[in-house]
Amino acid sequence: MSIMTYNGAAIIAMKGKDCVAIASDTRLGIQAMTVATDFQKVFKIHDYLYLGMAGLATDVQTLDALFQFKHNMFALRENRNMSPSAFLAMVSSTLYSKRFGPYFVEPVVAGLTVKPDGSVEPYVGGTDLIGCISSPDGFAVSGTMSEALYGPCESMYKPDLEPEDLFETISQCMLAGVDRDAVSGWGVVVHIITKDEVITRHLKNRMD
Amino acid sequence: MADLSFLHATKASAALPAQEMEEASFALPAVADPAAYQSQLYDPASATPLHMAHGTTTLAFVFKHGVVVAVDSRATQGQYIGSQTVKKVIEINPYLLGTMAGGAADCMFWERELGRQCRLYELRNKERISVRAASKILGNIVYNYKGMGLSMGTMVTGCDASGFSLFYVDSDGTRLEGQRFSVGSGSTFAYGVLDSGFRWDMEPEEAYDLARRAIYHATHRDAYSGGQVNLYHVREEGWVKISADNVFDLHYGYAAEAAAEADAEAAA
Amino acid sequence: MDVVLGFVGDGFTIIATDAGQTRSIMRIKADEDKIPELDEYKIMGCAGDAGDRTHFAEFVAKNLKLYELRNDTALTTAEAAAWTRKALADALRRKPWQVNTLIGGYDEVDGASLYFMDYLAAMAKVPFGAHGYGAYFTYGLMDRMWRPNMSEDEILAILDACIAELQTRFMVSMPAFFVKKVDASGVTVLRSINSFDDERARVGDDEAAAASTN
Repeated sequence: MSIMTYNGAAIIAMKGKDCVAIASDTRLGIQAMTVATDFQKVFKIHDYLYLGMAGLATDVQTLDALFQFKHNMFALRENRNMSPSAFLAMVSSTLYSKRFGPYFVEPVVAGLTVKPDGSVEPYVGGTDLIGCISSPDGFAVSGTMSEALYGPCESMYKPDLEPEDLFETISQCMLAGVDRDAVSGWGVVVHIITKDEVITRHLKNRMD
Repeated sequence: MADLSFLHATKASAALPAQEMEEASFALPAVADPAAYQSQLYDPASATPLHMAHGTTTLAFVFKHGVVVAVDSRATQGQYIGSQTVKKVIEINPYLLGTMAGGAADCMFWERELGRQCRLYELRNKERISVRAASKILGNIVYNYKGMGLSMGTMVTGCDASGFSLFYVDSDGTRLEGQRFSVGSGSTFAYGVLDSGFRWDMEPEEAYDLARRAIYHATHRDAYSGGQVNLYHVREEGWVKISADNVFDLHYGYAAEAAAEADAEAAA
Repeated sequence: MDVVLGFVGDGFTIIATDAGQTRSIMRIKADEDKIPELDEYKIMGCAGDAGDRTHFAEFVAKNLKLYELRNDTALTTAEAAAWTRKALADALRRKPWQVNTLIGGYDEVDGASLYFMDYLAAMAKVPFGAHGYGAYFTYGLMDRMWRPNMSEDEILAILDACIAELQTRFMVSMPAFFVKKVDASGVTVLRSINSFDDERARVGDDEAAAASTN
C-alpha cells in the first residue's frame, strides 16, 4: 500500500469564464477504515485563491499551516496578496526543498489573477509531491483515483462556463469520480470563486 | 523480475484425482510445485500479483423464525470499485443459500458445483441433502485445493429435516457450525451491531432491520464494502429474498429517522 | 493492541482505555492508567509504544503547563490539540513517537470536545472515536448508538456495549478499563482499577471474615 493512498482523497480544480472552481471529498480514512467525514482538504489562502491537497493527511495539515504562514508573511511584507501562479511557485519550491524526504502531498490551486485593468483571469495548476508544476488549460485533478476523475473531466469539461454551469460540471465530475474510488468520498465540498464572491456548497453523495 | 524458475520443472502436468461424486477437476500448471506457483501468483508482494475481487461484508444468523442472511454488493480491485451490484448471496437451490467473500470467481464456481452435487444427491437418494452434508461437501472440495490459492470465506445455510442450520466454510479448510457469523473486511463493524442487537425470539421484521443495519454500518466504515444490502430469509418452505436496498437510501433514511427521534425527544 | 475509546456527550467528554500493559505475549501490568491528565480540563487517551506513550504525554503536559505559566492563560482544547499535533508532526521526520491519541477537553469557547489523532499526526475533531484494533470492533456500534447531547448514563451505556463487544470478539483479553470524564468542573475518574487496593481489600475481607467467625 502506497503512502499516498493511506488516507484517501479526491480533488478537482476547473477554470470557467472569469471564475474558477475547486472541489474535494471530505473523508479521512486510515486505509480501509473511515475515521472522519468532515476532513478539510481545500484551504482558503485569500479571497481569490484556494489550495487543495491530496495525499498523506498529516502533511496536508502541516503544509496548510506552513503555506498560511508563508502567505501571511508575504502579505505583511508586500501589502498585497500572492497571485495564484506566484503562490504555486512558492508551493513548488517548498516541496522541492524536501526533495530527499518529501511531503507526501499533491497540491492543486484554483484562483483568479487580477490584471492591471482590474479584470480577473482564472488560473488552475498543481504540482507533484516534489514540486513539479503543471498549469493545464482547463482543469487539474489530484487524489487516490485520479484516473476516475480524469475520465468525466475530459468528457464533460467545456471552456468558459458560467459559475452555475461550472458548479454543475465540477460536481458531476467529483460524484462520478468518488463513486469509483473505495477510499475517497463520504461528502464533497465545492467552492466557486468569482470576482465578487465565493460560493461554497456541500454535495449529498454516497456514504459507503 | 518475476521468479521464472518454475519453468525449468521436470515433472509432467498433473491433475488432482477426481472425487467420489464426479467432481470437476482441473489441469494443474506443469511446474514442480503447483501449490507454490499458485501462492506466488496471488501474493500481493510478488512482482506481478493477480488481483481478485476482495473486500466484503456478509452476515447470517439463526433465530426463532429461521435464518437471516444479509450481504453488501461491492467488488473492488485494489482501490478501484469494479461493481456496486454484485450478488454475494448464491442461491444454491430453493433450500440452500451460500454467501460470497474473498475470491468472487472461486465462490461462484464452487457453490454452483455444490448445487450440482446436491441435486445429484437428491436424485440418488430421493430426499434433500442436509445443510450439514452440503457444507461438508464444500468443505472437502476446498480442502483438496488447500495451499493452491483458492480464496473463499463462505456461509452455507438452509433448512432441512433437522431444522435451520448455519455453517461457516473457508478455503483454509475450516468448517464450523454456528448461531451467527459475519465474514469479510467489514465483518468486525457488522459484529458490533449484530452482537448487541441480537435476540433469539426476534420477530422477522426486527431481524431484517438488525441484519440490514449491521451491513449498513459496515459499509459506512469499511471502504471495501458498499453498494446495496441484499437480504434473504430462510424459512421452512425455503428461502425468500426480502429486500435489496441501496446504501445511499439507507444512509439518508436512517439519518432522517434519527433526526425525527431527536425532534420528538426535544418536544417531549 | 491497546484500546482507546472516546465520546462527546452533553457538556462532557469521556475517554476510556483498557488497563493492560503488554510486553511480547505477556500482560505485565493489569492496572495501567493510559489516560494522563494534561491539565485541569484536558485528558489524553493513549495507545501505542509504551515508552513513547508515557514520554509523549509528559512532554505535552509539561509544555501546556509552561505556556500557562508564561502567558497566565491556559490553551483551549482546540489550541492544545493543534500544538500537540504540530509536536507529533515535527517529530515524525526526526524521531517519531508511536502513539495514537484521543484528546478530550472542556473549555469556555467550544464546550466539551474530542480530537482524534493518529501516530502520523493526522488530526480530526470527532464526536466519538477509537484507535487500533479496538476501533474495528467498536466503530459499528458507536455509529449505531451515538446521538448528539447524550447524558452521562447514555454514553456509559455505549461504552459498556463497546467493552462487551471487545470482550466477546477481540482475541486479546481486556478484563478492566479506566474511564475518565472531563466537563465544566474538571476531570473525574469514573472507573479505575488498582491491584494494590484489591489485595488490601482481600486482606481486609479475610480479617473481617475471621472476625465474623470468632
